[in-house]
Amino acid sequence: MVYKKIIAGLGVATALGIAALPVAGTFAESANVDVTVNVGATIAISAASPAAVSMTPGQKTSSNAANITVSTNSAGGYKLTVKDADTNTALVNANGTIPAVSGALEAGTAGWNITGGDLVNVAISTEDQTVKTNTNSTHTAIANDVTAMTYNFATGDAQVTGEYKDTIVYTATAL
Amino acid sequence: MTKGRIKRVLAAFLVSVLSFGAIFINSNPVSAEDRPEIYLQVSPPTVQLGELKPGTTKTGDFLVQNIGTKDFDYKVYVVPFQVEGQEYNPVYSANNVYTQISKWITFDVDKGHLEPNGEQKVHYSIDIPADAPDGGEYASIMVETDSGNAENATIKTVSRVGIILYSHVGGVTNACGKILEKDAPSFLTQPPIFATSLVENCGNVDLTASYTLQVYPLFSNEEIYSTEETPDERITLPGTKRFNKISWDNAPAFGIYRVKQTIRFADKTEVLEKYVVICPIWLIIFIILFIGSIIFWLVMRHRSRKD
Repeated sequence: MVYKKIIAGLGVATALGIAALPVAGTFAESANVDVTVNVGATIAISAASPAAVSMTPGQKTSSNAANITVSTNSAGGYKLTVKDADTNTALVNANGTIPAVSGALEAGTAGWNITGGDLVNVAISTEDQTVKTNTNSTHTAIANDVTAMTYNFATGDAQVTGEYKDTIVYTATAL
Repeated sequence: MTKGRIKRVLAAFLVSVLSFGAIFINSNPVSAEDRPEIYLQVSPPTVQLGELKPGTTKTGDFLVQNIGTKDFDYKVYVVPFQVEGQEYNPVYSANNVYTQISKWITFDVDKGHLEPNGEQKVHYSIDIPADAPDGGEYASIMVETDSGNAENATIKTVSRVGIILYSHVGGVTNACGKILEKDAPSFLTQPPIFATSLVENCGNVDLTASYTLQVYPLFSNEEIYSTEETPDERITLPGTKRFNKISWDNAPAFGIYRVKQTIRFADKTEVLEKYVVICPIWLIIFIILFIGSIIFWLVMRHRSRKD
């Protein structure tokens, strides 16, 4: 009995579904209309900053990952690069600096670098360095391709107190 | 309820769940919350300006758009564009005979402010001097914005996109290109199937190289993969070599295939055809163990017969 009720319920649902389908049009005259949509080529970038980092002298830490997002419908894909915004690659405070240093950092020796994409513990430079190359091998639009970047810091044993900052530039160009 | 009836009920329930779920399979709504806050877009990303006539002015425009969820300020400027290495890493600071165009470009507006979903058309003029050098000229129009929400960040990031301009000044131009290398690996342990090449631009204007990859089964001429309709095209700048890799990312994990790469560059066409074997490592190990165990069994059987 229960089985019959279930079958009946499914049958009603199916009938309602068929009834909800668009009904074929009545006989009428029709004409072809050409519709054209031109889709322009674009490239977009979003470079998120990592959250501020708090440290004490003689410490080593890394920031949370901050995403670099790129979208493009360029058939060849894109290249993502990074460089320092000015000629001073150090984190700067009124009374001290933390220099950009490549390689593994050590607590007690001041230094900072970046990791993400093709870069591992690389010191920022005044010239653009390639972070990632996406050649769009599938020949489809690249939508919101994310590269997670982390920023590594180490403070000296006698690091002066204060806020140390730097500005860096991420650039996306079509290949 | 009998077992048969239970099965029929479960089958009907499964069908109804799948039908209901199918309504949502292709639904992939992207909410505004998924978009980054500061998201800068430009169109187009590259411009082929064609021939620049000395003593004349050429104009153009591009679109700057805010596709994020927060407003931002932006600025516009132009830098030289060259490349470094076979991987074609961009260099925006080189100053040579091919980057003089970066000094000829001015904009009607060089900064602005955009609300979310806002856009601004920027016009540029290129005043080509009468003594402009013959040959290619390359620059990148940069559109740059702040992250907008990171004033207190340790590392403040700036988002920048480059619009690459390709052009050449008429006069003595030399279109010279060479195909230096072409290759494909004969054995792979996993996809993709790929082919590589290296071309050289030995002239003074940019040239476009076109790459096509076709893959056939071992005993057939019917393509199972082809990029003939949408070949890879790569621009090469004068005095540079460019490496390229063309691939079939979704190739099967096992099999023997005939791979054909066609390269068209300058007035040359070269073709590479090669057989490629794909076999996962675990399968190789399994085959070796299997053959080894058969040999072991045959040896043991021979010995026992001897005894």
